[in-house]
Amino acid sequence: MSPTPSTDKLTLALPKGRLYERSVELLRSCGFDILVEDRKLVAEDAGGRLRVMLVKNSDLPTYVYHGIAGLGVCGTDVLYESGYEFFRLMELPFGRTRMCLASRTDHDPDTDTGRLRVASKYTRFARDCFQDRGIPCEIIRLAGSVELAPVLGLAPYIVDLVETGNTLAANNLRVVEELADVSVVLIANPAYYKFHYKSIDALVDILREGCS
Amino acid sequence: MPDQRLHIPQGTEAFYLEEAYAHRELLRRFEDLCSLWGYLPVQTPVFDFHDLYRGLDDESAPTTYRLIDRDGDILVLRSDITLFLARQMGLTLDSPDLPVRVYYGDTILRHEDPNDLSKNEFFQVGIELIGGEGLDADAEVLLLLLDVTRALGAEASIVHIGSRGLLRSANTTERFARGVALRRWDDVRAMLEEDGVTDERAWELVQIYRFIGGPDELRDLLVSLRTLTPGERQILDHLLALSAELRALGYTERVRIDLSEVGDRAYYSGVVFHLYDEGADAPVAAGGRYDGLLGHFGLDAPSIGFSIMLRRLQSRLSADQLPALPEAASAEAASFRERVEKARKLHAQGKVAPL
Repeated sequence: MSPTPSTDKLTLALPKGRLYERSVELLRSCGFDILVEDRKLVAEDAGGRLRVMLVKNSDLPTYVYHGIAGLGVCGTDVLYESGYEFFRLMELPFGRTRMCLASRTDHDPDTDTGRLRVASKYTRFARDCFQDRGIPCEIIRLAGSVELAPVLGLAPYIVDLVETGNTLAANNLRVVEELADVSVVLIANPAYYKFHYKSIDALVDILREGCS
Repeated sequence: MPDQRLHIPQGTEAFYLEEAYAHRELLRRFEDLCSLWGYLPVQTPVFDFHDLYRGLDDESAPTTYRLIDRDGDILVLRSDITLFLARQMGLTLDSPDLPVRVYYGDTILRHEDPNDLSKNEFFQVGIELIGGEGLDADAEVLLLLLDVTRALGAEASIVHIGSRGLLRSANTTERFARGVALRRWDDVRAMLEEDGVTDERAWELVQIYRFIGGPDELRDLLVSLRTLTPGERQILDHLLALSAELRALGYTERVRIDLSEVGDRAYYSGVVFHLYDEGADAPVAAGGRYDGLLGHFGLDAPSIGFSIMLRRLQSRLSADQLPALPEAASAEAASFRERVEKARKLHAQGKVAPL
């Protein structure tokens, strides 16, 4: 039996939420007619070239890592937290944002003593970021509404994604420092890429053209 | 304390009944094939002195289990069979014994991240050709890998062949190797620029590292490159010759040259490869040449080998390719001796017959 990977249908995980809409929009503009019916989580494009699965944003790296989907659309923030290594095939033209350190507008940094206390959803990123700078730090994991932490006195600082800054301003918070740029990338499970590289490179070429 | 009867400690696994039966069948096929090619079995110890391996594989050190023996020495549990085997061969072999062909099938013990327990890398089979060098030795090991995986049901798997040697003329750090292996071309280019490499050469090296394909495509690429050194051209010529050899032996569809394959262990020195298969979430097999490794343990000899993560191939053989499972003994009334008599007749025909 001889392998024919170049004609295989590729599997792509898309994150639920706003990135899903943007991803499908891009795919459609490139000729992939994706329609995920209500309450269904798996679909195929009309041309039979892609099998798409809809998964929770934070679970997406896990699905790709275990090869359930060979490809995925994911933010670099979520990738970092997963700790898994993937091939990053291309940056997508949407979803750019910033990972920032923020505090209350009236917080005086001179009052910080000992270990920095930081609340975040992005605990791995926050830990590594401060460790690289040699700053002793205590990280408190939160699942959401991180802006509340300084307001309610849980921690003077937060590390979180900041897009417009409106949420911060509404909670009387300000950006202390931008720590990293965050973008949305097309990723591949490395072993999947190696086996199907021709089909995947062809898909990337189509998407690049659609982005230009 | 949680009920320990329901858990097994991380870093080990067990499998039973039908699953173990299929596993043994794969193992048997592997061993039979290795024996036909003149390879002899070896068994490595479960633990060894930790300090002997210091500096050889620091990348995977965080995943190893270490313990202290009664004399106060630090021991390490077997986490990489190649390393343990190199130490054993260094102890027992002399140059006049070479070349030596060995095969193994052993468990390894590593800490795995709790989120990453499904990789099933705990049982490895593999071979080593110690004292073999040059094209013929490289081709022999790759041929055996392709033959073995075909016999184990992975006949459509594909081997991607590269060379650690291509790193040596650019940058030999693990960070650089990792950048190439993960195909992070912006990072690779930036590291080359940090090293003072000219723009043209950095661009050409990235074209080389990102190459995957057949020999004709590689030849086409090489025509357009101007800054490659004679040493790099020699390595690429070797890969082209190796690929041609394997293709001539009937493996045209199962061999690709992939220059982002640079080996995930610092001890690799020449040809390196991974084997990929449809549906596998990680490489099924890995291997390469490590000419300096045995020298670390007192035997100055080249060596090349591979390991297969046997559990990843467990489902490749269909039920009808596996020997029949023993069926329950027939309920017909018969004495114990009569049943033994009947079973022995069936055994003589090679059939399974429990009492």
